[in-house]
Amino acid sequence: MKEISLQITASGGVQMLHDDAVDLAELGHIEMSRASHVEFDNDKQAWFVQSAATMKILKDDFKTRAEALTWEKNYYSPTGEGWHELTTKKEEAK
Amino acid sequence: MSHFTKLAKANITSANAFAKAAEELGLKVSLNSPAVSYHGRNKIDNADVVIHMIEGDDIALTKNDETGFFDMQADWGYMGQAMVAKTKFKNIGDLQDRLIQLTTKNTIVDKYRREGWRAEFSDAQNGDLNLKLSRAD
Repeated sequence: MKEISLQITASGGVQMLHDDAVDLAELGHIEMSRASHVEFDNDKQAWFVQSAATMKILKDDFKTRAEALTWEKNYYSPTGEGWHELTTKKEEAK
Repeated sequence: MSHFTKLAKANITSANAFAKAAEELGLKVSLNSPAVSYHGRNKIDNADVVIHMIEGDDIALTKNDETGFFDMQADWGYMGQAMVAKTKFKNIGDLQDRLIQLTTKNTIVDKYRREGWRAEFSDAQNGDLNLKLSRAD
């Protein structure tokens, strides 16, 4: 099952963790920024997810990259813990 | 590794999605009709969608051939207070934003349902709408 989450704001904007399946550019001029890094830790022999904004390791010890990506997608969904980090960062940058 | 995508304000790309949005707000809508504004003094011969707000003042949706998007046209200032009185919105900007928000929701949901996606949406606390699309791989 493939799932994509997005948010349509009260002011008529749209924001989401990028997914090629949803082309927001059809609706207007989009802006894109790095949300996170998913890397392999050579010492621990495991994958980890790192915030691009704070460089903090959000979660590690994933056995596979796919597991790390799934966790990251949920974390940065509109109902996930990391959503505020993404949207607040954008507002403050204005 | 992921990227965050943001569109500050969605354009209107579907007249049907806009008409549906207006109906969701309980507003009276006509398709492919004449529209009037400034208490009936200004006229548009044929708008794609017309929202009848008050006598002599409509919101007209027309295609902008330069941008390829649809534009909302109305005498916002002249009929502003009457419009606000007729709706639950505190000002014209709130009404415009809500129309764009619901139009965007309808546009996305219509498109992805046609492609076999299931669409579920829920209200967030601050007036935002969360939309989840899902489909079997």
